[in-house]
Amino acid sequence: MKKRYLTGAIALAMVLGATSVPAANAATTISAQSSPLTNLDPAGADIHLGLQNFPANHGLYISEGVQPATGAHATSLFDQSTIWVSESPAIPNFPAPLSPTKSDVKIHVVGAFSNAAGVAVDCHISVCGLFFRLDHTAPGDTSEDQFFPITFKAGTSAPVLAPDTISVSVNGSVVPANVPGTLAYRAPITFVVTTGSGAAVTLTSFTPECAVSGFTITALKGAGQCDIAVASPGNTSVGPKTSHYPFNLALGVQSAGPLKSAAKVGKNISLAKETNFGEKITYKTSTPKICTVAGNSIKVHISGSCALVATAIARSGLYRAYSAKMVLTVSK
Amino acid sequence: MRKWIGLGVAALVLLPNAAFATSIAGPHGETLTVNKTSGIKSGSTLTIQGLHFDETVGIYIEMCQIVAKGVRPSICGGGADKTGTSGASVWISSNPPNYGIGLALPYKPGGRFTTAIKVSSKIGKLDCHKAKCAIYVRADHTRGDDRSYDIYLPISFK
Repeated sequence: MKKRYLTGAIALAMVLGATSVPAANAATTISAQSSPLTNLDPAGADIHLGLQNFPANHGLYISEGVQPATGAHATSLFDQSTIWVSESPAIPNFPAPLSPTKSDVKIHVVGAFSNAAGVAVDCHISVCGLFFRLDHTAPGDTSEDQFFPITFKAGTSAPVLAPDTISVSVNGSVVPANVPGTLAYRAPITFVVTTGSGAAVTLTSFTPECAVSGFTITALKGAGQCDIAVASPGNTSVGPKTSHYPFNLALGVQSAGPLKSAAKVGKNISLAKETNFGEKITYKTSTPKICTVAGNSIKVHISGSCALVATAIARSGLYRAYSAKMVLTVSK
Repeated sequence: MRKWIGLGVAALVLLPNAAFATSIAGPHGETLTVNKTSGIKSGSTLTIQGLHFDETVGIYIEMCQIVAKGVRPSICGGGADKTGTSGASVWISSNPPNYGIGLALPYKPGGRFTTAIKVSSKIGKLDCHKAKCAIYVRADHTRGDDRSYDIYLPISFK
């Protein structure tokens, strides 16, 4: 029933001079608004898109790429063509998303490009088109995957440069692109980045759950995902390149500074009031004859071992509870 | 019960230097604390503290005329201080746009911050002796229309 409806939509659109995308399972209906989708200028052409039935809770990435096998996710994409269409707020340091309802949703396509793996693609030979997929807010969800073929007229494409190469390591270990790593709340890591071109790179957090400062990445949540993009502008020999480094976020670990191990009879000892994340620390003693607790102040009465337990609460989605045992050796 | 609440509200309106709360909990588990909320001398500096704020959401702190819930406060002293020079508003963000790096104060772990803003009894022509004013927290301009982060503590001046 749905296919019949979509076929009808395509036929109608062709009569009207526009084209709709066949969407086997996807909800979004796409139409080319004012641009042809065939016989495009291989040196570069803009396609203006109209989007209906846009996903309610997610955005879309739209990229030029090579037609994938039926049912497969497109892997040969022209990264520099990618546009982000979403009603989400802008990501700091990154172009704001295009609104599906208010923006001119325009994508610039070319007749030849290098895909992310550095393989040269000639759209006069390969079947190229626009590939639609859900954005980073729905990782692994292919329900909106759609491919929309485009063709180019004969002619010369802009020269194709192989993309730059980017290599990232953290503490001496290589971090592979596109493979999720783990990053704990407020446990910063620093990327060491090298490029084949030697060009300076920029790091951008595609998700608000992580902050980037220079080459240091800090998780601001203890659950969810982060996507860090490392972009090289390339140089005269190699093209630009952007690699993505996703992270699954993990709960942070609270700490409370150095614990004390010795005390003098009759003296008050002041211990940390709060953890490194600002949670109030509660102290309890199991040796009340030797020491007593009042807030973060410990009073020792007689010689012996003062056993203390320090605890602080967890915070959901951020960090685990804190618990530490401490024994003070009390002497005169 | 409603009568008592009504009387309480009336008392707050009638007394020019009624004592206001110095701390309020927000809908996301955050707590906003101001060191002084009543009998404030115009031109003085208030200390503002936050705890358990969402570190992924940048905020502005400023003095504004109180508006109805869901309405963006628009009469504010200081406005959106993107230059960080007025002292009448503060921008806190751990993930600001490029131009905000070095201007926005990042959150401390645990969604904490401590900052200060200078307040005047007047916001332009608005006299906070007559109008209801407050220390407002709202999401910054990257979420300018998101009202879910609006919280405020009413203040009064000498």
